[in-house]
Amino acid sequence: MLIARRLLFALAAIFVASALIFAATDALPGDYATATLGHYATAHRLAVLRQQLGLERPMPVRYASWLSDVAHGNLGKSYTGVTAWSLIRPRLINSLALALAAILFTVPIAVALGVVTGLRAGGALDNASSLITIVAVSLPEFVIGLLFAALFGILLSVLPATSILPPDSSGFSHPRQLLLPAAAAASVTIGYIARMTRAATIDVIDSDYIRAARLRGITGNALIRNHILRNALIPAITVVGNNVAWMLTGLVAVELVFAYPGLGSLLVNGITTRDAPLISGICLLITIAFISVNFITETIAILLNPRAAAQH
Amino acid sequence: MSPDNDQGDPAKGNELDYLVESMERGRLTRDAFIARAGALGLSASAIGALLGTPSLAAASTARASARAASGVLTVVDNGNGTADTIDPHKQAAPIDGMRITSLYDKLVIFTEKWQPVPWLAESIESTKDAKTWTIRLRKGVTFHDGQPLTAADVKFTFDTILDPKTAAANVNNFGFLKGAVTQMLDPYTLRYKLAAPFADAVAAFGDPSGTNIISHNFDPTKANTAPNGTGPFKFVSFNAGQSSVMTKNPNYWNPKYPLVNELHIQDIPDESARVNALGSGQADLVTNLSYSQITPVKAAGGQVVVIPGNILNVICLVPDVPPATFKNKLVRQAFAMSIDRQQIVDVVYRGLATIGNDQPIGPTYFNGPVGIPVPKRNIPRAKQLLAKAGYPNGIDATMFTGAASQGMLDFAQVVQQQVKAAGFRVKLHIWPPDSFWSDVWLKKDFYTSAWTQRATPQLFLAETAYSNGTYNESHYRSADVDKWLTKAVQTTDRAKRVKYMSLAMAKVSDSAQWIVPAYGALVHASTKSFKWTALPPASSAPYLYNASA
Repeated sequence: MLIARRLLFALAAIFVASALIFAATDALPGDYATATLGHYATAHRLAVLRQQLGLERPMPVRYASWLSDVAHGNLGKSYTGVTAWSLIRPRLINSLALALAAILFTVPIAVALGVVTGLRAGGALDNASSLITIVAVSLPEFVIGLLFAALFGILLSVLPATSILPPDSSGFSHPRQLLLPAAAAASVTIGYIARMTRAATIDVIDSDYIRAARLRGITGNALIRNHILRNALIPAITVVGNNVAWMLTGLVAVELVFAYPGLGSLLVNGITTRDAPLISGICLLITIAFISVNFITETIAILLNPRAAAQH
Repeated sequence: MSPDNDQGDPAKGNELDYLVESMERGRLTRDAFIARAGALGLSASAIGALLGTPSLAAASTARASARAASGVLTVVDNGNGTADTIDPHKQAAPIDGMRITSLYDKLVIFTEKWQPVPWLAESIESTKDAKTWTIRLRKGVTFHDGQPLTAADVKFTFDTILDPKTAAANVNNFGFLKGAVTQMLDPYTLRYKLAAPFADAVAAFGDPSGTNIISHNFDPTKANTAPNGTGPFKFVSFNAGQSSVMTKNPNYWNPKYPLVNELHIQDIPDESARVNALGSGQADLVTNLSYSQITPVKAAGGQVVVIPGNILNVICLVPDVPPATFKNKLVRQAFAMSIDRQQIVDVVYRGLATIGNDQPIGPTYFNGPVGIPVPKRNIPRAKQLLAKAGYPNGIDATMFTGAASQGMLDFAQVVQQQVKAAGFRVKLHIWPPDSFWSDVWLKKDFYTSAWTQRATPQLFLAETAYSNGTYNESHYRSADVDKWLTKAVQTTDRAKRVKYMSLAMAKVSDSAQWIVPAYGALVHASTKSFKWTALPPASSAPYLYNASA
């Protein structure tokens, strides 16, 4: 029942989001023809391209056409002439590779830092960690990316400064290309997740059931592993999940700084060229990703928390 | 090393990259590296260069050298993303032009000083009245699919461009062929009898935005997936918005070229990433560099290639578009007089420009105008002119601008400050770059614009300065200028062409509708080992047939 309700909600969200995206793209100045034919396009060239792509049809008609494509199981045809999916698929794989690499950097460091500083709140390590994580969260990831590229890519020359991928390959087959962009992305998420985990750990330590566990004589690693960690990690898991979904398109700045061919830069490209079917296709996927990730993380949280499981 | 010696098996590039990387990471000893690099056929000097890197910072140079030794040239520029194309009729961004020019050939190409060089054409000759043009093709040229190039392909090329259904990007260059009578004299000779004299045909055939010769069985549906040109490189792969890979054409008609075995052209949207790719040895050439990136390139150990040219940032003072702030010529002349042109050369162009005189044909154009005075900065006189025009307390105006081309925004900001002294209170309306050319250009009354160099003045002015020019951005209309420009393009006498051009441009300059403070050079950045055997002209889509890494 819960799943059915969620699915219904997801479909409605997708429908509303895609209609809004189409309308917003239409409201932007210019169209695909003016955006891509360049400075010197003649009126004749613009007219021919608009006619070929059906850009002169009213927006609702174009939207209905795209929606019909989606109903037939594809993401429509980009104005570039190829299917939106053929453009999105390789970028989606690359973005997944980057998101996973960033999460691999993030989770062990952020959770360890959050738990340790939470357990020793107010100590020297906690203060130092707070300062560093505030700085990391405050600096935009593209600034950190540029610093990493300059330091490791050019000055030390130990890693590629740009993450250009060879044709027909993905980020999964070139892990070395992922290191710098993943580290730049992680620099932001580590600070955020560490602070969330720290706060959750402090809350858990102060809770009645931990006091009860201590009264029952449970101390040391057993208390941390079985009682504190288990509860403190629940908010962190939700945040990690949402971060994965966000990273699929949210790392635009990192992708641009490292010339990494991800979904975020494809979305920006779709917007600058006014390619409404491509933009809508990507947004549809992202909406699905967010809903799926939310569903998965909530399920994991429920499994980790017997009380929540009982409520459901 | 001579270019011929540089060329090995392109597959070695990856292997060498791997060896260099292994040695850097300690997985390979020095001796093992020498043995394996030697086995790949790398010369002792090349191995020495790789091993002689004194520091980690030099490893990027070693990586670039290794790629160069294997004959791979990597060029990066910004493109149109997923709208990138290698269709020879659809070229929009310079990166498209670079790719297309590598896959296809033109009848003529140009030197750095815009002198034509016969290319697919052995000769192109006209009668004295410039009405009959005869094109003799080079024999022994083949398309990538093995078919020979004949006059039928050339005829088909121009017929296709002139066909409205093609909607070719370069159709404006070939208006002179409309109504022409075509004669095929033999399989390698074609003659056009024009409806009106046109002395610029050679330039039109070779202009960077000009034509690339296609096969008579050209299939537009396969233009992006199976291109078939006669160019120095053959198609391997093309991912719009990312990369293209081409390989050396072993049957190229000019056996000296190309100088590399493989050509990679990469679309990287962010300029700092392009410069980083150069600094880390992942790219050999960054084309169309912003002036502001010259210092970072040098700091990253790259070299800057400066090609004198006609890169323009201009201001259009359009008299007949509301609110028509610049309707009065005195106001326009006061504006022109308020500008410190030397400061624009120094600040906007970083010194890589010559001072302009409010007409768009700079000194790098062959057959350009002579003797046109430069408006000198004179603030008291500018104030007098404004007062005389009815604005004793100065004037308010909104200038539309944006980051729509290199340095445009810097240019607008500098001008805004300069003209303040004379009483021009200019507010900048910064427009998004992705719709600037569709919504501001040719539509507003006061805006910035930008241009690159064409092969001849007439090709540029036919579109921009004629009363009915497609891109007459300042709305300058003069029957005299139309007449002089037509006379200039109808005569093959160079002295007369310069005379008519000078008359026309002097009048344009005097109108002060087109403020052209400087003629800028085109700048590329490269590794120190990259070179062209001869510099290309100042085109944003440079030739790569004679480039080596």
